[in-house]
Amino acid sequence: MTENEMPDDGAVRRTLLNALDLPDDLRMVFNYVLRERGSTAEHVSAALNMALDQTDAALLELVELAYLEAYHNEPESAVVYKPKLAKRPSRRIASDLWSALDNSESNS
Amino acid sequence: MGKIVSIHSFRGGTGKSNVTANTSTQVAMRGYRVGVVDTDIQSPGIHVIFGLDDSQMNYSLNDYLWGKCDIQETAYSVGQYVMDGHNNSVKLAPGGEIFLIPSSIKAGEITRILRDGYDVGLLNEGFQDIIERLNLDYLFIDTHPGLNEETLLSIAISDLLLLILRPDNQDFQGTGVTVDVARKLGVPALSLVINKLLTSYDANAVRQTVADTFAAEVIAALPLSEDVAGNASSGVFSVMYPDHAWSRQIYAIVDRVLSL
Repeated sequence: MTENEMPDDGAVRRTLLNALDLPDDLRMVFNYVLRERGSTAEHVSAALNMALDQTDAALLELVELAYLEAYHNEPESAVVYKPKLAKRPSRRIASDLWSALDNSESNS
Repeated sequence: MGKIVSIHSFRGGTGKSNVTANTSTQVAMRGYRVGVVDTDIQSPGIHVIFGLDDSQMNYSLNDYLWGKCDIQETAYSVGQYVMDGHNNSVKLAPGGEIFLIPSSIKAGEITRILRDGYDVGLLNEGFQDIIERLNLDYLFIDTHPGLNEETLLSIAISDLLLLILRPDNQDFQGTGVTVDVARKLGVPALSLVINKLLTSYDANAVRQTVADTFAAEVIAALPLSEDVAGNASSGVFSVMYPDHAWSRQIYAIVDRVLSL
């Protein structure tokens, strides 16, 4: 677990850099959900021409790995999977440099 | 649904912003609704080519990423600022419109983004929302060179990735990396654009070498031009000089975009 993947609240967050290391089948599913900004298993299965049980398994694994989150739009509705991307991390630079830059802005 | 075209290069100084501004303007001139997002948050610049002054920007992409405003409030219609060779505003075909979503040029806002980071998911939402809200036919994303989170996002969600490279060994190596990443991210279409090609080179031979090296189509080879350099980002070159050899290569990129 790298510093970028483990923020202060302890939750695992993934970036697209992490997604590059996924196995081909999982990455293909993740890419599709990302492009669609969310999708159901049925839609993913149809779009990628994958068996539904295989698609379900891939989506659940991506949820377990913290690349996707699953929710219901309404009770009883199909599960929707959405990409869960980490916040772009801040740059690790000494705080006095940021302070100096802020000061230079306010003085200009 | 509008198409997303990302313009990227592995190294800086390849002419991404210039190619983006020219291609997007030419597409709008053909009657399409076009948006251009400057995701080069660390070193923004495309607003200069479009003639949009910092003082005219109420909100920027930075403000949207900090939750200060809606994405639509960061979009500026810039057709009126793009001048032709006679210093008249560019004529867009009926229905054509061009919007720019600039990044902030304020030093404090650039450093804040670098210091605090931002929600990459929100950037993805913003791309899709701006297409819907402005009813765009095409959204062009001008990226920061190299590979980072927002660049990878731009690549991953694009319908067409335009990779720009110079005939230079450093560019060749970096482009190879980017092509590999784009293929891993499942980009549906990838095209290469050679820029700053020395006029003494055999353009067809260079195009063939590049196409073979990366197993991808080369859609344009823009010549190294003193005229373009002399323009110094003071306008959209192909609008000012529509018959120039450089501009004619831009039209080849436009044709590829319109074929999506």
